Amino acid sequence: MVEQGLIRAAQSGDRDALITLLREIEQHVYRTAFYILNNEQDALDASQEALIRIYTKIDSYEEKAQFKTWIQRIVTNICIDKFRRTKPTVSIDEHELVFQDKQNVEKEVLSSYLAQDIQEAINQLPDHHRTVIVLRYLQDFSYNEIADCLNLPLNTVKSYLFRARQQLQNMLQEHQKGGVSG
Amino acid sequence: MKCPEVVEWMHRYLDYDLDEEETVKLYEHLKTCPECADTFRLLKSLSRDLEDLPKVTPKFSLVDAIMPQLDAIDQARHEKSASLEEMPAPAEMVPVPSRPARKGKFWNTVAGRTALGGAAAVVILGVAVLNYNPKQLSTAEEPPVNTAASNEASMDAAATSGSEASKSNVVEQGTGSSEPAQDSSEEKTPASSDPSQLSESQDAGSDTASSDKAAGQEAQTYAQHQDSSKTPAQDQEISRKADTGSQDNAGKAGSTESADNGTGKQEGDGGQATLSAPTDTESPPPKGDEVQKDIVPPNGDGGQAADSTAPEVNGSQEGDTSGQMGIMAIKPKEDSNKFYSPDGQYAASVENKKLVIYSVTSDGSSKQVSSLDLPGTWVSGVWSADSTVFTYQTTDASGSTVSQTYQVGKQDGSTP
Repeated sequence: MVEQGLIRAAQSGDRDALITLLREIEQHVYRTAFYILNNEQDALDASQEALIRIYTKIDSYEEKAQFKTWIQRIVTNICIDKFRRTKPTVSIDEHELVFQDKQNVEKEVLSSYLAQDIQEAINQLPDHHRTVIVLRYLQDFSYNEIADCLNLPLNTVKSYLFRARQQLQNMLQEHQKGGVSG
Repeated sequence: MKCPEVVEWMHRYLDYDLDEEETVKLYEHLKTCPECADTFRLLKSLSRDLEDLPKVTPKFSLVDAIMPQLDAIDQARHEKSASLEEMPAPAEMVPVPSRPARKGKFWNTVAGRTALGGAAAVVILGVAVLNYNPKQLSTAEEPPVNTAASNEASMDAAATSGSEASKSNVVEQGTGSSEPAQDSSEEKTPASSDPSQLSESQDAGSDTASSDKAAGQEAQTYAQHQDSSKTPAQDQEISRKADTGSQDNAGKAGSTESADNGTGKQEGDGGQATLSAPTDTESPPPKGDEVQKDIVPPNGDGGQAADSTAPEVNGSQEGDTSGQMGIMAIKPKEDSNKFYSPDGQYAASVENKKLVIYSVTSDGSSKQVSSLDLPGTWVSGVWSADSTVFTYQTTDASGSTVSQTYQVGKQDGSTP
C-alpha cells in the first residue's frame, strides 16, 4: 500500500513525501469514513480531519505496526468518537425513512437494491460490528489486522465479524422477503 | 460435526481462515445438511455483496482541500519553533531595539544636559557678570574712598545711602576728597583729625558740647551737609566712623533741617564759595581738649565734593582739596599732628615739641601765627567750635596731664 521509504521520508520531515503519502491513503481513509458514517459530507469532513491528524502525527507512527492499520485506527476513532456519537438515533430514523422511500422506488428493480440495502444494513449495526465489517470488506483486513487496528483480541474481532455478518444477513433476508412479498 | 460449529466454519471460510482440510470437511457437511447449505449460500451471497460494495472515492482531492490547513499548520509550527527559537531571540531583539532607543535617549539627554548646562552656565555667568560689573563700578569708585582716610566712612556712606544718586555723589565726593585728603594730611597736619579720633570718648560728651559750643563750626559742617543735600547720611556715617563726636553732631544736625538753618552761614558756598570761605577763616584758639570736629566743618570745597569730607580739606589748605577730609580722618588719626579749626582758618600743629598755630589763607597757603613750647609730651588737642580757642593736653615728666588753651585772637595780639 505505502512504501516504507515514503513513510520514513515523511517522518524525517520531507513535506513532499508526506503529502504524497496522504494522497495515496486519502481514498482508503475516505472509504472507511463513508461506510462507517454512511454520509458523504460527514465522510469528507472526517476523512480530512483524519488526514490532518496523520499529517501532524506522522512522527508518532512506529513501524512495528502496519501503516494501514495505523491509519485506519485514526480514521475509525475519529468517525466513531466524533461523528457517530453526535447523531445517534436521529440518523437511524432518517436512514430508515430513506430506506423505506428507496425501497418503494426500487420495488420493481429486483437486483438493484442490494448495495444500498447493504449500506443501510451496515449503518444499523453497532459501531464495533460496523467497523469490523468495513475493515474486513472495504479495507480487506485480516482478523489480525482488524485486531491491531481496533486494539481488540483476535477472538473478539471474529465474534464481532461473525455476528455482524449474521445481523446483516438477517436484516437483508427480511428486507428481501418484504421486498419480494411487497 | 454439528451445525453451529459448521456455521462458524462458514464464516471462517468467507474470511479465508479455513485451510484445505477444514474446507473439505465443511463442504462434506453441507452436502449432508440442506439447512446449513442454504445458510452458507446466503452468507456467501452476503459476503460477495459486501466485497462488491462500491469503492467510493471522494469527489475531490482531500489533500488539496486540506492543503491550506496543512500550510497553516506548518506556519503555526514554524511560528512555534520560531517562537521557541525566538523566545530567546525576541528577548534579544527587544533589548537591541530598546538599547538603541536608550542610547538615543542617553545621547539626547547628554546633549540636552550639555546644552542646558551650557545655557545655565551662560546664564549664571551673565548674571554674575552683570551683577559683578556694578560691583566693580561701585568698587572702582570706592577704592579712592578706601584709600582716603574716610575709607570706611565713605564706603559705609555709599553702601548705606539708599538712593543711587546719593551713592554717585558719595562716590564722586569720596574720590574727589580722597586725593586731596592725602595731600592735606601729608602737607599739613593741623591738630584736627587725630585728636578727634583719638578722643572717641569725646563723641558722647563732645557731640552735644561741641554742637552747643561752636555754632559756627556746626554751621560749617551743616553747610557741608546741605551742600550735599543728598549725602547727609554719608556725612553722618563718616563722622561716626571718624568717631568724632562733633562730626556726629554735625552729621545729625546736617540730617535735620535745623542744620540747614545753621548752615545758612557758609552754605552760600554753593561749592567753591565755601572753599574760599573756610580757607579764609583762621583757626580759632584751641578750646576744649578735643579738636576732632573742627576738621570737618572747614569743608566747603567744590560744590559736589565739598559736601562730604571735602570741607575739611578745604579748611586745611586749599579749596581745591575738597574730599581730603576722608583721608585726613584716617591718616591723621595715626600720626598727623595737625589740627584744623572748625572754620578752617587756623591750624594747630605739633612740631619739635612745639605747638605751632598756622593761619590758613584762602589760597591754601598757611602762615605761622605763633609757636608755643610744649611743657611735656603731646597728648591731644582740639579746637573750640568757634575756631577761636585751641585746647591741647600734654603729659609732663611726672605723668600728669596738663590741659592748656591757646586763643587765636589773644595769641595774635600777644605773640610777637
